[in-house]
Amino acid sequence: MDFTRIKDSGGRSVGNEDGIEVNAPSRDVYEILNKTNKEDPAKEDVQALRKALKEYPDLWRQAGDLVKINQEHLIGKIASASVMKESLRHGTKELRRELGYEQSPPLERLLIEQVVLCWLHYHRTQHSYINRTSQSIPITQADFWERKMSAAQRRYLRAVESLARIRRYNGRSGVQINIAQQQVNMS
Amino acid sequence: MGWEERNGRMYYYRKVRDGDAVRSEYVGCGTFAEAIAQIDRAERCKREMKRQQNREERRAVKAEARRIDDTIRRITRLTHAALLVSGFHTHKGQWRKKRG
Repeated sequence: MDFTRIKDSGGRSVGNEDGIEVNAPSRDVYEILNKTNKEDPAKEDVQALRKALKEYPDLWRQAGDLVKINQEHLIGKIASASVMKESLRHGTKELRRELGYEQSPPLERLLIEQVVLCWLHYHRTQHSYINRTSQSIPITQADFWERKMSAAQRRYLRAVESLARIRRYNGRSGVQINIAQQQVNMS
Repeated sequence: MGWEERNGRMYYYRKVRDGDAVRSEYVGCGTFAEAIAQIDRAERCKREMKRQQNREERRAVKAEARRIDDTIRRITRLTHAALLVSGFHTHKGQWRKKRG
């Protein structure tokens, strides 16, 4: 599965919106990510992956930014009025708090954001589903909305499962799950 | 649905579904029939607009799902990378800590 690129600067330093130089991930980083995306990748590839994650901590930030952008997009789709949007944002804040966002290491925070994203998507789909199926609609449309609703539920459940799985690995093994240059000890 | 000529005059007929069959329903001629025809045209436009809206909504929902799936794939990929460099490996689809 190809890792979709946000930027492909070939490893050069580029300026961000604040004029601060950041290292954009090079083509090699995406290649190694794709290369290790299989059962039992070669040891040297895993070493190269470790090096790449240390060199480009921005990968994590970019993923986090992408999730936040998608969350805002969904909030905009669900609610048009500012009051409703604020209510939804408050809801997502509460969800993060319930999932222990503040106490969580960076990887778990990213997975919490994924749960929030899927939660918003689930509610957006449910909103459309209720609107459409409350009227008389052709069976093909009813089937479409049923499938979308099921898919949204599955995404949400898988997001929650992913977070639970990583927390289990952190808790049970007492291992360090490393993200870039940050080493997080969980015991 | 439409106008048909009979003996030099134009008459308006509607097609009406009757169970599985479709039959022609006589409406009339002259000004009255023209008014009904206009109402029918407006109703058809409204239905077509509704169908178009529904099609666009379904397209938007599919596009949104693709965006979300793309984001999820990205996060999954990074999570797997973090597990790999932390000494985990997959075995028959399950993540396990390497011994030693």
